[in-house]
Amino acid sequence: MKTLFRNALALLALAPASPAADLISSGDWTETINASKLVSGAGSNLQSQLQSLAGVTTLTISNVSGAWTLRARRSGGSWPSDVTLLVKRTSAGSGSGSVAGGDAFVELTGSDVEIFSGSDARSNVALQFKLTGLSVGISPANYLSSIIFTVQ
Amino acid sequence: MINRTKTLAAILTAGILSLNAFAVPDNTATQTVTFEVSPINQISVSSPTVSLMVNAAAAGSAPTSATDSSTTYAVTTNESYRKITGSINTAMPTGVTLSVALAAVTGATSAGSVALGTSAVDLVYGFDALNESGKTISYTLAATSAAGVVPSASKTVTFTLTAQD
Repeated sequence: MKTLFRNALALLALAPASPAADLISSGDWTETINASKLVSGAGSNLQSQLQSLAGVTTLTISNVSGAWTLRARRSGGSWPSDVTLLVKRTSAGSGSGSVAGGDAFVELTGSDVEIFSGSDARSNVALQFKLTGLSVGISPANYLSSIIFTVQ
Repeated sequence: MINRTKTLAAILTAGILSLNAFAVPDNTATQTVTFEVSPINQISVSSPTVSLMVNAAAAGSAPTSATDSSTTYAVTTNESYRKITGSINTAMPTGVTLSVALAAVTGATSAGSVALGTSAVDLVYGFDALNESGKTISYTLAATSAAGVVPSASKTVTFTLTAQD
């Protein structure tokens, strides 16, 4: 009997730690860059920056009590080296908790970077993306990247 | 008693395994950012009209050609191996020639002054992605003496930015 309980306790110890919170995201950003994005027609370059609509992506943080931090990184896909992707928070969402920071654009790279922090549950925290470094030097093609959000 | 205890422990173990199976970390979420860059090939001219008139000649010589270099063109492309061609909508009268020369954009070659017809002719070729403006367009209207008096007429000149052959 002791062995069985010991095994059971060992399994408990081996069980992964519960996640800090549950995170649900909604909304991709797709942008088409064509001649309408030239600064002033023929002879001009592309607008170097483009922004998504505010709230194109929303995040809901739930099943959490206490403080947490929301981080993000880019992963995979084809991406021109001259183009930078940035993100910022455009609303605090709703819920019993709170959020702070993230109201200025932060560059997303291959490593996690803090976007904002908060406490307790929040729903529909809105995000906005921005592309910089656009020019006619970028060959016609489809470019994409996954954005991985992590709350801890 | 021993059997009941084993059963209890087994249930407890199964319960732990079951909880473990549902405790999938879901503190991450993924979205996708996609942008599509479409081919861009834009060309424009600074003025829609140019007037040329051949109305003089030196005695003993052919009529003096008329020239105009008051207009410019602008071009934007995000593709490689580009060229600019030119054509007119209807043929010129016999003995009258409308020629055009486009200043080359960076990395390109200008074909110089080329007579325009209803078939497109290369004017500037061999350039890649760029955006430039203020490049001079030089028109020349020439007529032979045999052309005689030619009534005033308008021609539509079409410049096309396209792929090089």
